[in-house]
Amino acid sequence: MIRQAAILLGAAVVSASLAAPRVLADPPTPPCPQPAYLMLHDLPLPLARAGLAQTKKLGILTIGGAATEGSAAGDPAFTYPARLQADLIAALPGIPVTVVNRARNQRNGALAPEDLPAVIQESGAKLVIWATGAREAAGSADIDAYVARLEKGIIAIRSAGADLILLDMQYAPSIARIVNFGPYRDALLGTAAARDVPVLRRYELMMQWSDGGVMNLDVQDTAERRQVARQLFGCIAAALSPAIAQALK
Amino acid sequence: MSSAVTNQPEHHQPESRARKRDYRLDFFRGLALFFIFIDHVPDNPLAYVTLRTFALADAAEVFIFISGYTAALVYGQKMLRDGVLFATALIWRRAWQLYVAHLCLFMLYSAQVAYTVQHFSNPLFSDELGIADFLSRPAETLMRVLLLQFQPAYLDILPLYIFLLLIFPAFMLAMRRHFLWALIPSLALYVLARTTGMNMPGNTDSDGWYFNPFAWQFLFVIGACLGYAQATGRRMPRTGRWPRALFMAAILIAGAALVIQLSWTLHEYDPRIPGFLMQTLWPLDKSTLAPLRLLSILALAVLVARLIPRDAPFMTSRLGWIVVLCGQNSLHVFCLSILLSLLGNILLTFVSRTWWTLTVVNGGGILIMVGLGLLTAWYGADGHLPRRPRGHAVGAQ
Repeated sequence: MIRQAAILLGAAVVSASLAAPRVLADPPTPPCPQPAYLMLHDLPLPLARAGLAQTKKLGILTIGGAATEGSAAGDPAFTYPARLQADLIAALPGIPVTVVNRARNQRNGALAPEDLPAVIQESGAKLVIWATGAREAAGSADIDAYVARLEKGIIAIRSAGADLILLDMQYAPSIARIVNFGPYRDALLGTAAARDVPVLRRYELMMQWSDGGVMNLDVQDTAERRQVARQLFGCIAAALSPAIAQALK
Repeated sequence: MSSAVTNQPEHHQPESRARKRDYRLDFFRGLALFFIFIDHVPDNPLAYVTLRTFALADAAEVFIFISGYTAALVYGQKMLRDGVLFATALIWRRAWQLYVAHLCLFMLYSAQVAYTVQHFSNPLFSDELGIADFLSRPAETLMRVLLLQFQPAYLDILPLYIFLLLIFPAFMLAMRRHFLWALIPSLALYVLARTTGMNMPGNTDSDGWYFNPFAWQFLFVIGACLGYAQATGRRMPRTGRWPRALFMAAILIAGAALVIQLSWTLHEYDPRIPGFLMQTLWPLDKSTLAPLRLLSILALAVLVARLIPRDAPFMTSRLGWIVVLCGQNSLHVFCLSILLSLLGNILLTFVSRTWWTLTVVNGGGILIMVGLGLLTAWYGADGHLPRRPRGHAVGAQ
């Protein structure tokens, strides 16, 4: 009985895969598996929800460093904020979604917590996605000061009437050899937990993708590097968008 | 690196007194060394079963506390027997050896950074690659490294220990008059560090050392006062109202710390599990040794002192004895463990993080540490391993 069912199932799978049309997507979107314990779920987004009910549109603001700015993708359309906007438009039909990217690279310096309310007001966003900690860890910045800046930022964003999702640092094998992220990740995850801010554990996700051969984050060839960045940004957007759409439906 | 260090057992007592030896010091310091190694391999799943999951303190506190205790025990006896000058010279020789070891580790680290920057200038990681800025200012950097101002990633522990050894003779002199002569100034320094942010100069004007030595010396000196009392033959009272109250308080604190830390760890992964007192207590600052971290480690020390006999059978079992021998030669093993955690990280990031590479790194690292512990013990006992005691149980003291 079981054997027959297995044979039937096997036959069905084989015929289905043979029958499936060969679609050549551009760019190809390889799967980036998310283990259940790293997935965002039950996101508390009361302010974004209320804003959506009121204005019938969704504004999101992304802040962070070079990885949010996304120049590694070589084209603004392939950055994670752009991919997130596309994903959410698809997931929330009929709702205009705009993702405003205010990332700053190394040369421009990070946004100060005091500047956040003005930037949020100006963008009209009800949800902020904030990637933080890379520069602090690389610069061995004082951890107390980092936690204080995080807390200030969390309070500033909330008092500006927006929900918040934090992104922790990026992982790459080469980088993990020279930057000690441990204390800074502990500080970020602990502060977020104490203030009930949801965190996308990007570091662990990227470590899984890197170790599982999903993407080579240490790649050196310039063209391949750009391809990996695009793939990564797509995966980060894919890790965020279902949970955000779910929370707003 | 470790061969530069002399082979003198740190916790050396004459044979006639061997029966009285307190193996808890060796055993738990040995265990702390393994935990420090495991905790310092970045993103090591095994780190979830070390002390930091079960207490508000971690292996660093255990190591510094017991090191203070044994330093006073060993060098205190040396001072009483051979004089202050000789004891100071011995302590400072150790500090010099650690300084040399630190510089060797820096060479290894900066080679890695230089290699990475040359081969891996990915714009995706331009924030992270800011770590290499120090390479563009070699004159300033080298000076700051020699002055222990620049302590790059993973290399912030040895400078603390060097600092503690440098100031220890002064505290030992003070202890000789009365332990309060050491303890009160030490407390004052701790309070100053916590309130004013006083710290050793770091790499930039606003930064200080990650392990603020003015704060951490307090734990070292508390351990040293207890060790010095032991060295001079004084015993803590074990009966009466106060010792009992202390014991009860220790149970309460350690129990509360266990529940709180476990709930925090779980809450980070699942927001539905409440993190007890997290809004109030977070963050427990490690840099300046938050009072709750201090309380947590002292409570554990009281519990171990009261509940575990000084030569409990598990410590003199075959396996336990290996840990004891590592603890007895802790400085060599400690230096090696930092090197091993750097090398383990290199292996894990060059190959990949699978269960078997993690097993090789954790298991191999611990085996190499054990190997060095045994080798050093073998050198120290003139070509044979210190025999493990058996048969006679001496009650806890």
